[in-house]
Amino acid sequence: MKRTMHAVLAFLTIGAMAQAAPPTLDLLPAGAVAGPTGSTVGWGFTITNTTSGQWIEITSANLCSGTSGTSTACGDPGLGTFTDFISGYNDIIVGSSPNTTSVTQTFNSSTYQGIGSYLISAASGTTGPAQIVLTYNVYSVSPDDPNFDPDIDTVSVDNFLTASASVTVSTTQPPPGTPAPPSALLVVTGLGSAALYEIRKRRRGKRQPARA
Amino acid sequence: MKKAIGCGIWLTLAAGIVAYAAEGPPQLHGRIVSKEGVQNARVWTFEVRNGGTTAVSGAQIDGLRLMPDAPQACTPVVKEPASFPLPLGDLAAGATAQAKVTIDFSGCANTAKFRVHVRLAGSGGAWGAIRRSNNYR
Repeated sequence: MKRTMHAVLAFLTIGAMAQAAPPTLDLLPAGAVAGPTGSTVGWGFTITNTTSGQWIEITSANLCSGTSGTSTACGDPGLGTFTDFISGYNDIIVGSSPNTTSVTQTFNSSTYQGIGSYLISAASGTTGPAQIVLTYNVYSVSPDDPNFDPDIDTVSVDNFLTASASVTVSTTQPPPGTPAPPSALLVVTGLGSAALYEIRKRRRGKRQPARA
Repeated sequence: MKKAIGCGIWLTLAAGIVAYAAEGPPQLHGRIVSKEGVQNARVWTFEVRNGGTTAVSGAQIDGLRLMPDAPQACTPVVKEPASFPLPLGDLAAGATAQAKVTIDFSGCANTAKFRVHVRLAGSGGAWGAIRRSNNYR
C-alpha cells in the first residue's frame, strides 16, 4: 500500500514537472549560419510550449554576442545588421487550443518568416559564440480566445528564450557569369586604356618623320 | 499633465534632452517587469540596468512610445509621471533601478496590441532602449 502511494506521488510529481516545462527554442536548420559579404542569412525556428494552461507570445528577437542579451545588454556581434521577423512582422502564440503547442517556421527573407535575418556587411570574420535572444509574455488564457482580458490573464512579461547561434562570413567565390566587382572593372578599364594609349603613341611615332 | 502616446508621437523630450550624436554601444538596458492594475490605470513597471563597467549618474527614462499594431479607436494616455524624463537615479556598474508608469488604456480593446519603445539615457552619453512588439495593455 505504502509503495503504491509513493508510486502515485512520484507519478504526480513527474506529471507536474512535465506540465511546468519551460518553453524551448530550436533554430532551423542550425544556429551556425554563413554567407558572403552582402548576403542575407537567417534562422528558422521551432518553439514548443507544452505547459498546460499557459500561452506564450513572442515580443522581441535579437542576435547578441557571447551570452549577452538577458542579464546584460545585448552586445552587437558586429558583422552586419539583424532584423527581427518573429515579432516585428509576425505574431507567434504557442500553447494549447485554440493555438498549437509547437510552431515551426523556416527562414524566408522574402516573406519575413523565421526568427530574423542578418545582412552581412563585414568583409570577413565570425561572430564567434553568440545567441538568439527572444522575449515573450505568458498568459493564462490564449490571446486568441474571445474571452482574453490582458488585465487579468497576464501571468508574466519579458521572459527570455535563448539558443546558441553564430554568423561566419564565408569566402565562397561567386558563381561563373557573376559580374565582376566595380573595382576590378576599373582596373581592367584603366589597363586597357593605358595599353591603347601606348599603341597609338608608338604608331604616331612611326608615322612622324624624324626631326632634323 | 497628461500626454497622449498613440500614433507614434514621442511623449516627452521637452526637458532633459540628451544628445545622441556620438552613440557607442548601449550601456543601459532593461525590460518590462510587470503590468498590473485596471484598464484606466494600468501600471507598467520597467527595470533598467547599467550593463557597463562604469557608473552612470542621472539615469532616466527619456520617453515611452506606444504604437498600435493596427489602426485602433483608442489612444493610451500616461497618467503618471506627469512628464518625462523619469529619473532613475545613479546606477553603479551592474546596478538596477525600477520605475513605474501608469497608463490609461480606456477605450482600448482587450486585443489591442502595441509596439513599445522606451528610450534610456544617462550621464556621459550612456544610452539604451527597450523595444517590444505584440504587447497588450
